Amino acid sequence: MTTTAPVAPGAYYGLPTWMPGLGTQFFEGLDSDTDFAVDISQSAVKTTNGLSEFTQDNIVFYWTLDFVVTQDVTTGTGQTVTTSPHFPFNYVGNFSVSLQSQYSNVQVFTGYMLFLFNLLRPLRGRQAWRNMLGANVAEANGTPLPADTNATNLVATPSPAQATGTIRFSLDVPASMYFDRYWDVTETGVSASGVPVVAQVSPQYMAGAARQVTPKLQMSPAFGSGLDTSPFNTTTLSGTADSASTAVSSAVLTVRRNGVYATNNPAVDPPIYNWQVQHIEKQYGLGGRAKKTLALDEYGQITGLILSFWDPSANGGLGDVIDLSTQLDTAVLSYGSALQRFNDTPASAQRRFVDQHGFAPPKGVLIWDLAIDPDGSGKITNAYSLNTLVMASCTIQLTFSAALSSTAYVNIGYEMLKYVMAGS
Amino acid sequence: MAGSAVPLATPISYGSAAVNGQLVGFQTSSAYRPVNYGTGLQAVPAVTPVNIPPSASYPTTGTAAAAGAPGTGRGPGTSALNLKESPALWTVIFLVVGFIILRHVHWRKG
Repeated sequence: MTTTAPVAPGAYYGLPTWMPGLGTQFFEGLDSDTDFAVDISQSAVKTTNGLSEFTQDNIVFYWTLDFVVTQDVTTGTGQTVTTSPHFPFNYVGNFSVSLQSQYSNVQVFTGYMLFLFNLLRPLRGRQAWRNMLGANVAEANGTPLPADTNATNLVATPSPAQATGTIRFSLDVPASMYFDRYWDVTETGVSASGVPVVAQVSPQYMAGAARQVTPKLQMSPAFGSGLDTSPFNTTTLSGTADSASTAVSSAVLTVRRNGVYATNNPAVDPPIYNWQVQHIEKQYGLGGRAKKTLALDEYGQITGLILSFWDPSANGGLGDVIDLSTQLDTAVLSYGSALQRFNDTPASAQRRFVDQHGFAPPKGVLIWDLAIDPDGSGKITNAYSLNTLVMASCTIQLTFSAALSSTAYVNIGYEMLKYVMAGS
Repeated sequence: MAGSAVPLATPISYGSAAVNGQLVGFQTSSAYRPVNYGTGLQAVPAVTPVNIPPSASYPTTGTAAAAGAPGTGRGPGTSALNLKESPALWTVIFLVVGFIILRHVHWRKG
């Protein structure tokens, strides 16, 4: 009697779809909610109730939220309505997806950071990125970039502000991350295999009894006090002849899912690694400082950092992005005993991002992409991530041309891998 | 990784470990491998090459393959009343037997 060695889980993952019995079957389709009505208030944060649980089957790489916002903004007599630079993505307020007993997959203050995460790492096609509103940001920022204007932090926020109309935008909710060269390491930084592999880290097996996952979604008020957390602002009534501005908005949400079909053969299913991808946003105050050192207080491999600067005191108290080209002198990402990973000016950081991705980040945003392989191949790898578990003192040092306002802050988006301990 | 010489962190408690001298919280892997219910995709139904058994006879070979399912059964034979070749007579026989059983067993007078 002959025996065959068991095939390792995931050994056949990625074989052509049409291979009988062994091919990987991809799918992209609808999740639970289709054209779900989402309330948007004129003046209050609305928590979205009644969202369905994510469909409990198969293996998901990422979800997509398709929003269709219908808005009717009327400027009152004697009033001024201002559109947020983060419009329309900050129609979406607090948003999070957490699977039971896992790190939060996604946790952002507004949809804008989720949009930036999608910018940094498009889930479908790496360096080819299209604005989810249909316009190419690179074009909006001027293509090709003239050498002499490369120093400015490129402006042109997507500005599809419409008083009346339908705004469509999509946000991808990553549950996993694709790597061309993935080093599977232990929590102490030791390579388990010694060679990099192509990997999807780590897909979410949704066909579990415990997989009752409902995304938590809040919608921002159309007219908020600050333009960071609301798409519009209107002046307050003062004169007796004035009339108030109104904003009547609503949205419908369709949730889509992308992944592979689960099979009964573990060798065909995508393997699960000991790391979970996480996209979270944290806020750090910069109040009144010209120099600020921020400690990266997350444990894991950081593959991307998004710094979104905001000054709530600017623009007459409505808030505005901080113009990095004039206000930020240097931004340094360092670890260990003052080893500088990046020592950047806004221009050099932007230049690198343009080289890596082909377009510039929006105004007020500085992105460090640590996952693009510096060998020039454009491959995605975790080989050059900042592993805060084994690299001490990972910090960001920011130097501004002058002290910022007392309320200024930076929201930092962490794209990172977090270690999952083996065992039960 | 089992059996390897990879140095691992020292587990302290559920979800906690000391890595390089610092206490770090970790999620555990069970949540990433949920107990599935139901059956997954067994295999993709493969399209197998069609083999027509040489014994099958088709009066009109030009169209029979498109109209029927070649290889899945016998085509219309030439002897419909042959007990070995056709189920037609068997159908009638069992129908009659069924009626008889209904009449004399199910509806019998007590």
